[in-house]
Amino acid sequence: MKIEYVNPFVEAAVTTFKSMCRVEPVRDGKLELREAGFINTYELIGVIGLTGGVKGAVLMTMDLNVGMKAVGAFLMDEIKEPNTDLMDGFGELLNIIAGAAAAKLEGLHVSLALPTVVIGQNQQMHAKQSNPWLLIPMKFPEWGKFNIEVSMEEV
Amino acid sequence: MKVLLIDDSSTMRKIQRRVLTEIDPAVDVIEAGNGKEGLDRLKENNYDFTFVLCDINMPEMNGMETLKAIRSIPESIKLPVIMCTSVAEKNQVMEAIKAGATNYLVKPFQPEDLKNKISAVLNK
Repeated sequence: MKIEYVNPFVEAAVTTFKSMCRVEPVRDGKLELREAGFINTYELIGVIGLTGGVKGAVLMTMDLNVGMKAVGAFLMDEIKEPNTDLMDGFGELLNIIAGAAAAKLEGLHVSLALPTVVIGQNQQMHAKQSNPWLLIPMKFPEWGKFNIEVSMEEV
Repeated sequence: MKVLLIDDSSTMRKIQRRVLTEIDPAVDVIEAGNGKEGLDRLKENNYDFTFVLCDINMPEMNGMETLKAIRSIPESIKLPVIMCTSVAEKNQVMEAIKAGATNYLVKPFQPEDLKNKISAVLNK
């Protein structure tokens, strides 16, 4: 996992939320490399597999109330409880972020799998020794924190 | 104006429908969740659409396969198709244009970007 992979994902997240949700997220603290073990997540998790010239995945996770605000802004409609719009919209936002980042990593010819979104409390993901994850803490100043997490190796 | 939206994201279809309604409050929007469904809707409607807005990254039948299928049918060979892509690598955009895309829209986009692409297609 190379450090130069970070900026395309950060820039893609900022551009996507600015364009599609009219809100500007910012970096919130230091990057964290998790080489093995369990990683805590927020309640709402979206993940997309990365294929083509790389193998790996990108994940976005945030609290449920933050996710409802973000997807509500995307849809220009209030989301009051978890529903199809929340799950679909969260996956689509991640899809757009991953796509925009992939475009910035042009030489790697990254292809995207379809997004998967899960919801639930006290979830953890697991990083394998050979498959480290880079955690990028971010926040919406108006709404709260979220993470973009990337695990990616060239093939 | 009659438009076929092909996108696996119901959220994206809602956003696109809203923009289309702003352009033409009387617009007739038909939706499909993947390319296969899109081809069915085309046939059911006798290929009678003003244009098609088609996502690329979809299950069942992706956008590139759908575009190629649309161009292989004599009734839709000249139907305007705007491809909507989140992976804007130059080679993928070129592939879409070569396969017969009329125009392409890169996500993330603002409503004005979509309106401009539609205007360009309508004024061709």
